[in-house]
Amino acid sequence: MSTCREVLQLLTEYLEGDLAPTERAEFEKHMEACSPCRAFLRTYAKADELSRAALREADIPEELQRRVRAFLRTRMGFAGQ
Amino acid sequence: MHPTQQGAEPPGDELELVARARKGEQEAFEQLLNRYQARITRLVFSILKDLMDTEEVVQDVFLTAFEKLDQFRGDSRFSTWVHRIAVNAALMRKRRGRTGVEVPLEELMPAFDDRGHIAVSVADWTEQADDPVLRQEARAVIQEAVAGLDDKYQTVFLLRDVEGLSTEETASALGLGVPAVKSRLHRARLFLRRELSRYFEKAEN
Repeated sequence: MSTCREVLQLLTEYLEGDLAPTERAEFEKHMEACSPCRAFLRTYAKADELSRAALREADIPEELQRRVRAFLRTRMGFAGQ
Repeated sequence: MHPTQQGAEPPGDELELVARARKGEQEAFEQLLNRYQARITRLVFSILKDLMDTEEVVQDVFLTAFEKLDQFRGDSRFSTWVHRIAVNAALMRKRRGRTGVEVPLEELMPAFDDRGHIAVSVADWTEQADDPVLRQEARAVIQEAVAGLDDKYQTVFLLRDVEGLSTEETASALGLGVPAVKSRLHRARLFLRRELSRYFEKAEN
């Protein structure tokens, strides 16, 4: 039976689907029996989900995007075409 | 629990677009920008947190990318290449300012007993996180936490988790090995988990 310390080192590999079948089975067996590790895994995955969403909502003004595009067109010699 | 592998979209026509842009075709140039400008701007802004700096850096990134299209060999994806230019340019600009702090790993993990088992209680706040008000407030906590990550963890987190590059593409963009990407990603996620745990536990009380 793995220890909590060992199992918590494998969270990313587990979530990415990178564990070998035997490691995965061992990981899941531990999780089933260990509620603190389950809470850690659930909050670890949730924190990642919330963080991705928050960063993807970054507020970039449309005007900035338009200025960048206009600058690049001019510099690349496409302006006015 | 589902695997979070996301993978970037596979634009099969990308090499052709790059070839056409290289010949000076405006339509190909515009299509590449349509595909990458918003993503690269978000990435640079996530690193710099300043719109004026972001604008200047993004301009430079695409100028460099288009002016050096000849050097793009097509043995990695255009996406990986342009993300690499963007990360390097943003970090160079940021060097003038501050960088994040490195938190010891032990502080991100629960306390273990001498048999390696968790010796403390671990709060599960995932249901609280579904509360729209708390979730909205948590955004600020996340923005601050990501800004506070040390560069080496922040860049991996932004490319892999936010921009959705694969682990291999992230490794290639940052000049790292795959194991280093995985361990840095784990570290970044542990840090974000700790910051959000502190926030939700405080909100509960």
